[in-house]
Amino acid sequence: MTVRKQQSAARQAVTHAGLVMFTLMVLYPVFWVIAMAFTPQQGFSMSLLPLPTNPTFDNFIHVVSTEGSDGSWLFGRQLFNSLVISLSTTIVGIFMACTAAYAFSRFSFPGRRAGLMMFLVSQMFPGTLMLIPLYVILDALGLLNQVLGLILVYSTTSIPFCVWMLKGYFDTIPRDLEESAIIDGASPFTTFWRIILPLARPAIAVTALFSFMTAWNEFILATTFMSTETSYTLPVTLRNYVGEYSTYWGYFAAGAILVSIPVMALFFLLQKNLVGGLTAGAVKG
Amino acid sequence: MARVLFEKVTKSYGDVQVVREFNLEIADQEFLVLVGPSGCGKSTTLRMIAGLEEITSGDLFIGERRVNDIAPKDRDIAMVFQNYALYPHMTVFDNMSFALKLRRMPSAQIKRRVEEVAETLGIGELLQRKPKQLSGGQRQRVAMGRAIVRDPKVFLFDEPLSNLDAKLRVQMRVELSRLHTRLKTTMVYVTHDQVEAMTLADRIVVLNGGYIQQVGTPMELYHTPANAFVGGFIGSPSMNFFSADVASEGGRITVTGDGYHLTLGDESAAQLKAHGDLKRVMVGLRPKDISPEAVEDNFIESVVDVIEPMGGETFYYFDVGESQIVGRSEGGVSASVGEVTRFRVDVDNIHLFSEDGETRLN
Ligand SMILES: Nc1ncnc2c1ncn2[C@@H]1O[C@H](COP(=O)(O)OP(=O)(O)OP(=O)(O)O)[C@@H](O)[C@H]1O
Ligand SMILES: [Mg+2]
Repeated sequence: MTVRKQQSAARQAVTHAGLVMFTLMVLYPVFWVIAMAFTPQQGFSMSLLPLPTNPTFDNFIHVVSTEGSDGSWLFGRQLFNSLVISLSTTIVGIFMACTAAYAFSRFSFPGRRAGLMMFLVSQMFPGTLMLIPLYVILDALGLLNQVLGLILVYSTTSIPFCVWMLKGYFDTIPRDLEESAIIDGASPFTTFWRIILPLARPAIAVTALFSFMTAWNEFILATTFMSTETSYTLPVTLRNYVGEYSTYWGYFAAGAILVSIPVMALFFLLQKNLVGGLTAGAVKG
Repeated sequence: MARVLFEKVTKSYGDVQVVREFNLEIADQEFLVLVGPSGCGKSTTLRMIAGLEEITSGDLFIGERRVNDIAPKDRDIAMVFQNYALYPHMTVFDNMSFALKLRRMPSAQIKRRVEEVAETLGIGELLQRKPKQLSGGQRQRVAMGRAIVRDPKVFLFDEPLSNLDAKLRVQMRVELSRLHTRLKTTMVYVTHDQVEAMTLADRIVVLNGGYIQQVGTPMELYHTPANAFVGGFIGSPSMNFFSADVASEGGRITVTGDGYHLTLGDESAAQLKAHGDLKRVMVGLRPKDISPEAVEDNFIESVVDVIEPMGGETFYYFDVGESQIVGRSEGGVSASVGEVTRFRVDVDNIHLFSEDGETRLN
């Protein structure tokens, strides 16, 4: 600490200049999007400084109040789709991943190594590779244009990663704790529920966030499986503002900001859980 | 009745036997200590009693009940782990009451019981803290409290003091002794520290390589170790060993070698003779039985390498043949480094073992 304090003012200035520069580099596109969102549809022009001219909420209002061909509230419908799909994916994925990861972490059974390996291998292929087979399967199941279809697809594709994440964390929880619980009279389920899960909260939070974000932002699968307006998710809608013949940058930017709000909200919500170190104090300190 | 009985219990991991033919009866209310070097199978044995480790063959009884196939929670035992294994997300109160809640004890009763036990352990003030807000010694007490509230038939301890600093360890050792006197419950205690074993145990089991070396009271083990391993393991500083020639001189039996000459007492001589006509033996002598003094017989003579004055006592290090020997005197230093010194040996306390150290001869 004292070493830090002794750094010369010049050095500090250089360090901070560097930090400010990188921060700006990261934020510059974000400023642009914000500027675009608040600029009236026709009035936007490329300038070095991302400042809106004649700022207005028109773009937001237009995006939010988009109506479908039958006059229903389309944006609401699509927001609902996105929320239901992302939340369900997270819940289903976390539930399956927690139980699977615990088994992989604690029990030895035939196929344990092979199973883990397969989960890893499945992550090496891009999702688009499975596009056609998934389409065929969903079609056969009658789940195209259905929220349930996307939930299933997203859950299955996110589970392998979640399992690896959670298994890694479960591995760090001392076995003594479970043995202690067993002697205290806890059943395997009670041990899992009352001891392991509460301790794994930081990992579960991170994994849940990852699941949610992946589902929330996913575009390619959604645009392939969902072909009716009312079944779109928000990323698909957004993409449609950038059309072949005309591009509504203002709507697109406003939509993009709206879409990122829930993710940010979730970040703040889970923030305190993301802080690890919950196991501190279990064993000698 | 909560005796614990092992009948030909073995434990193998694959082809490797880590506990072999374990036969032992632990009496009701006994404080039994399992002691031995790292990897000798102490924890495995304890964990078999707890039910955390399956028994490969043989029978294990707690009370009158064969428990081989009985789940840990139905064995009526409590265990204190080396790392305490407190549930980090629960308060001390929740840690201590977890087992009682699982047994559906009424909550008023749980509260009374936990508070009562916490009071006797001096952790009454800490009930609302989380484990990470406790010191090592306090965690240790909570871990014990958690075991005590359950009022088990048998307590199992796996090196419970090894994470504490030296001073606290001594203090907790005394408290454990007191606890045993008060609770009068069977306790099985694993340690690799022979001082803990000596001070706590009613009986000690010395293990090595999965085999029981000797079972006995601390004094039996100290005065008549069954083999060189037990002799070397029990007592501090350790017993000295060297091999010596056996000879007969004028009707008496002597053990001699380069720089020493010891004439055995009648009893030892007779016992040694009973083993046949041995030419060489392994001699075991505790440091307290080797002290600097110019005597005519029963002496070791060697050049002193190192002297360690401790105040109340002094240790002398020197070589006999290949072996390093430690001698001891009461009080201040009575020899000097680098000088040939004669040490008097108290032959009444000599331990004679077969040359390989496997069997005691006197
Ligand atoms: N799951 C396992 N698989 C194979 N070998 C094992 C397993 N668990 C323990 N062992 C072996 O069994 C032997 C006894 O282990 P144990 O833990 O009982 O030793 P210990 O006497 O408690 O030692 P320490 O003082 O180091 O705790 C060791 O040699 C160890 O390598
Ligand atoms: Mg051990």
